[in-house]
Amino acid sequence: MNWRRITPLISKDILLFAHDKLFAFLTAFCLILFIMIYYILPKTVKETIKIGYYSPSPHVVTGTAKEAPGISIQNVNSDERLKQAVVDKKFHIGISVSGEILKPSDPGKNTQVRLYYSSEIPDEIMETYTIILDEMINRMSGHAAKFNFAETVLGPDMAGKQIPFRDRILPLLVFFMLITGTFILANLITDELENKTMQALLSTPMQVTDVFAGKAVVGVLLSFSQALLMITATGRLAQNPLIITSAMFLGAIMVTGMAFLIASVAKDVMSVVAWGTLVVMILSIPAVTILFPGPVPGWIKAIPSFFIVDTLHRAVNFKTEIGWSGHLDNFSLMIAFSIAFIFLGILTLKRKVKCTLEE
Amino acid sequence: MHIRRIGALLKKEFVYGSKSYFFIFAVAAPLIATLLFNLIFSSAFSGKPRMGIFDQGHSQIVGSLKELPSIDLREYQSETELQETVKKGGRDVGIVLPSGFDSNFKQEESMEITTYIWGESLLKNRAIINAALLHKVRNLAGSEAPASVEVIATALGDKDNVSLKDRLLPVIVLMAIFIAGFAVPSSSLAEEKQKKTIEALLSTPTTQNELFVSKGLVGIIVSMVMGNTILILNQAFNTHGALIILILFLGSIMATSFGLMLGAFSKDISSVYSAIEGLNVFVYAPGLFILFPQIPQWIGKFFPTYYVINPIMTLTQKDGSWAAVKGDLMVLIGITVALMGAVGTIASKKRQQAA
Repeated sequence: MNWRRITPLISKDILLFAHDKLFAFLTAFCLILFIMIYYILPKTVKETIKIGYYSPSPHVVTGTAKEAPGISIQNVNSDERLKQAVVDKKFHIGISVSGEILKPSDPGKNTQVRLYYSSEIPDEIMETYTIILDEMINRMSGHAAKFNFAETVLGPDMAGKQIPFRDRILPLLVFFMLITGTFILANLITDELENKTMQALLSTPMQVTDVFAGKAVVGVLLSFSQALLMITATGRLAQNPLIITSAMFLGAIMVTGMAFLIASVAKDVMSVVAWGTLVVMILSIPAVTILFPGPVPGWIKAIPSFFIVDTLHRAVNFKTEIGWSGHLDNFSLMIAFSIAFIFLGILTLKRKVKCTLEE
Repeated sequence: MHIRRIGALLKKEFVYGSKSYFFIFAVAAPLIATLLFNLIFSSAFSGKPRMGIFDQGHSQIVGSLKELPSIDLREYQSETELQETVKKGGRDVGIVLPSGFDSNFKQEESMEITTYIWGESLLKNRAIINAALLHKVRNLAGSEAPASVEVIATALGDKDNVSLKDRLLPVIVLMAIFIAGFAVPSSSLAEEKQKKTIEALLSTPTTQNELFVSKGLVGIIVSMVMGNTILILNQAFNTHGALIILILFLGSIMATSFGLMLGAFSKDISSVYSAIEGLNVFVYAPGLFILFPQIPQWIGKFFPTYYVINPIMTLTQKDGSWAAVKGDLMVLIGITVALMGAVGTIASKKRQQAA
């Protein structure tokens, strides 16, 4: 491999990319749009049930009923204001108590507890609120249950510091920026083969290995730089920067290998599009497990992109809870996949170039 | 413009264009999406607190909890299995009921219940599960709330609840309209340019305008057919059928106009594909606002496709009327007219350039 020969090749490919106005515009457009989407999405998670409370004697709801985690109770001055606040969705439900729960003002009459809820609430959710209210009344009237919950929190306790949706979607957006490089590179290679410029290049002292090395550098540079720009603009590179950049770099190598594979099976630009779509669809599946957390089925872990998005998610969203040691497995697999894809990609592409030259 | 020439071009588009990747994708993708969303995502988005239970005895609580539609309950055969599931996020809270739980509670003996909480579970889900368990235990023991308290539930405001599964439908309809309207004419135009068949066509009496109209019509027809098919498959047509079809028609024109503009400026298929990939976020962004009502809804109004998806949502899922969609429809008509004007101008400029 001769880097003196490779450097001009890299410059040529980058210039080709930059001169393609549409590609350059779309890259910038996607980058700006993804950053905008990130900032538009909510930066907090509403994880408490907000209850508005009105009573002529305003301190009825106190003690254990008010201390329950996940429930926030706010006093309101009047019944009318409470109703309006429920309609305006300031509270999930409103509770209006006509008197003392323990001692009805008139011994002949029951104390009325009015539960106001928005008619937009589905019936099953309404049932939940009724249960909560029932439980509050029991607590306030001294009917506390005679058992304790011996609680064990499994995994980092995110109560009160839940990961907002925008930070959950970030690994997916970064991954999209990485994968964009696949299309660009696969297109560049197919173009070279279609327009027979590859033959022209190889008629010079340049070796096939030099051409591939140049293409690989361009692919990694394009993918990595776009992903880096994306994550820097969202301000999420500040924590665990080394883990994040390393994951993105390995991700860039992996997608470059995939670009080689796509280019080696694609006959023309159209097949790049078809194969590329298939690859993007499959590689995007693991990101769903980040957006909607839960148990990850084993087959999803067989998709190489899982290790990129999982590492990015844990590095971006769990400050110091997971250090390098927690990412070792993912990094080992990312390195293995990157080497495998690059090796396979070069091997198959080399064979394709050979066949094309023979033709 | 010559109607017969447009007809001939249209026939050519359907005969040859229907074999193209984009055409097949435009037909298959919304159908697959309907199937997938109905099968998978409707359950993933349920939003119910997920409770796991390992019953060491034979508590009546388990059966009682299963009757609660607000809780997603699953039983486990061992504590280890429950703990592992909670740890992986399969359940928000896992509860181990000791043997003799029911009798101990009835005898008012103090008990400790082992509870596993998934670290990423929401506080409200933890609170709901705790409250539900306590509620059912009280019911079992017969220790109800004080008899002096009377709870009266009052619903406020207009009924306007739409499940997430139903909110997904307009997104799939938008997808059906836009994949066809956006991708079919743009790819067809770009392919003609790439294969240089456009030059051959324009050397005949066929004009640039006729070419644009025929490709636009293909986009509108496929778009309309797919939009209607998705609505029929999901049984979403109601008494406002004519209004829904009008919105689909305007949405199809909007998508096709975007597609024609893209096709006019793209030099080849790969450029079209990259543009579609990039612009997808812009097209489907209002879907995000429909799916997640907690996101400020006014932001959605900045996207042209909002004026397609929102009236469809109002008419098909909220049983809205003409009055409810009038405003959106006016904006949609305005956008469509402006886009058609832009396409007309581009076609004229291309004709001048060709001349």
